[in-house]
Amino acid sequence: MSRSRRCSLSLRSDDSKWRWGRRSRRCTLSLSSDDSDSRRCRLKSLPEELVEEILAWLPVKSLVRFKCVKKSWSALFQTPTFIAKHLRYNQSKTKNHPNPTLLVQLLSRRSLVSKYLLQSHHHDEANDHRSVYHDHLLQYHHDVGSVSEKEGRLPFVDYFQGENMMSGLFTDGLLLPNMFACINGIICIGGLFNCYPSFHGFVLWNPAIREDKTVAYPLTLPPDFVLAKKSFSFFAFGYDQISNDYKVVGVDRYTMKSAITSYYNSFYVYSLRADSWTQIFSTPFHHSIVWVHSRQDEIYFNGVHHWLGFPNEEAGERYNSLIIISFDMSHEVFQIIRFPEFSTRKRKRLTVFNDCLACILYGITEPIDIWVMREYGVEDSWTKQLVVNPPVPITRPVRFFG
Amino acid sequence: MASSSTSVVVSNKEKENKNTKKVTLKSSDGESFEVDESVAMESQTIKHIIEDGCANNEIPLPNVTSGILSRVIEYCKKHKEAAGESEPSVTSYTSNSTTNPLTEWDTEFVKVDQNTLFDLILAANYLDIKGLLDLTCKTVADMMKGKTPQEIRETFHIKNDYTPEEEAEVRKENQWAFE
Repeated sequence: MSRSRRCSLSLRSDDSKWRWGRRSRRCTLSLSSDDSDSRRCRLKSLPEELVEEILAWLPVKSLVRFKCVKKSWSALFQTPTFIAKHLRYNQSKTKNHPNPTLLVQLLSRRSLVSKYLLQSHHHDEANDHRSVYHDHLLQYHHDVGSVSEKEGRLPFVDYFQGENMMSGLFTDGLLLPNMFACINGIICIGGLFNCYPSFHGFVLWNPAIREDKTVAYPLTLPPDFVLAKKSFSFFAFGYDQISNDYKVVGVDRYTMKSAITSYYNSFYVYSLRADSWTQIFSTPFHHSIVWVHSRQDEIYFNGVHHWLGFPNEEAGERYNSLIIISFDMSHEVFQIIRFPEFSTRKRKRLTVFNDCLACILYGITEPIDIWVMREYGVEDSWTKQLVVNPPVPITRPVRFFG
Repeated sequence: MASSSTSVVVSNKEKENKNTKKVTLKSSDGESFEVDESVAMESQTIKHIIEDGCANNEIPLPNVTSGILSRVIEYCKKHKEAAGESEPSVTSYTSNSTTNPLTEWDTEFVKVDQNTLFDLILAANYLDIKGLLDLTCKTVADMMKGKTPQEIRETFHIKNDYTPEEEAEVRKENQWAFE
């Protein structure tokens, strides 16, 4: 038969090797050629690229387990092309069944310290995650501030146990968090960590494979600003689709008070691939732009991070002169997007509406205007999309759902 | 001579011919299959052959047997039909599933013995039919999901190139995945 050279798989019952969840009878999957005396597997002739295709559909937990099947598999799972493929396939799988994960910020009795816990509600095989993290939440409520054995299961503490400098990085908490984002399942938390010696930087955490990495913020000094004092820093986490790289952009703002107060902004970007920071010197605007301090006024959209800022130092008409400053993660360039003339003095909040950049204008009891930038980057395309009347006085709008 | 109406008739006929243009695919064991060109073009490989003008008589497919080829054609036919019928998808805020209407059909389609499944993977790869490749690979992946590394090695007859110490270390590092 022409098939004698092809691999053939047979189902044998009564073999308790493994059980298929969906089938009622026990069966095993084994490979045998049609020559009954030789049981050599023909699957070896399946080319590597097809094995890769199959592996890319597996959930992360299975992949991690299969690292020890074969050395080349373990190496394969680390390659960027495989990772990107796996991410694509798994995202398409879960498109219709989103698995929301909540990162909860807890306030301890010491009001300066904040702790973070992950509560995940995954379906199927990651169900156990929920109980693990749920346990953590309970534990924290009872033993705030102390390191108990159960807390040791937090990925950060596990990881840092051997290293004195970083131990307790997360158990002692995070002071002054200045970055908080999750992209493609990787969580980025940055700030000043309350450990000894203190660590000012960020942690990249991939809970699916339970690996994390800490990166310190660089020390940047503007030229000629010997007496400059750093007034604040902003950071944003993003993903560069073009080069499949995770990046963090940072802005340090220095103030120098002399005869006149002058400002200087220092821009730099961290690349995970290069594991290094580079300073960005060319920006389309003068370095004296002010950045809005509030963390809620920034959004990450389409691979570009957006902040609200002011084009000059004049106080007074601040809210009317707000502009959007964007940083494109792939091209590592800053750009300015201006708002249209709003005839109101309402507060502004950036958001995403129908896959477009949008701005919410709100007050406390006034109607909420939603302006949408129909064509990204085209300042003329700002359109007033709708007006919402809040039934009760509001503090601020949070986000759109659905 | 009503030239305008004649030309209309002619062009209609041409269109009709174009629509039902057929190609012949020949399997490795010599069997010929005549299919609509549009169905055959679900395969990028065949599409390129046709577009390059090399499909004069039959397109030989030496890597695909007749049994597998007939299944592949069945898949392509079904998916081509469905693509022709469906309306452009409308994102609905309320619906939480934009399921492929052929999901059930696909599930039944891959309920075959493993022999055939692997052959389908190889054929889908050779013929470059992404949908079929994804479907079949996903099916195999689902079968692999709950297994232990040893079971994977046994079923795929992979030689373990780790020393016992190395393997123990890898397991230890990733202990959580085994729980």
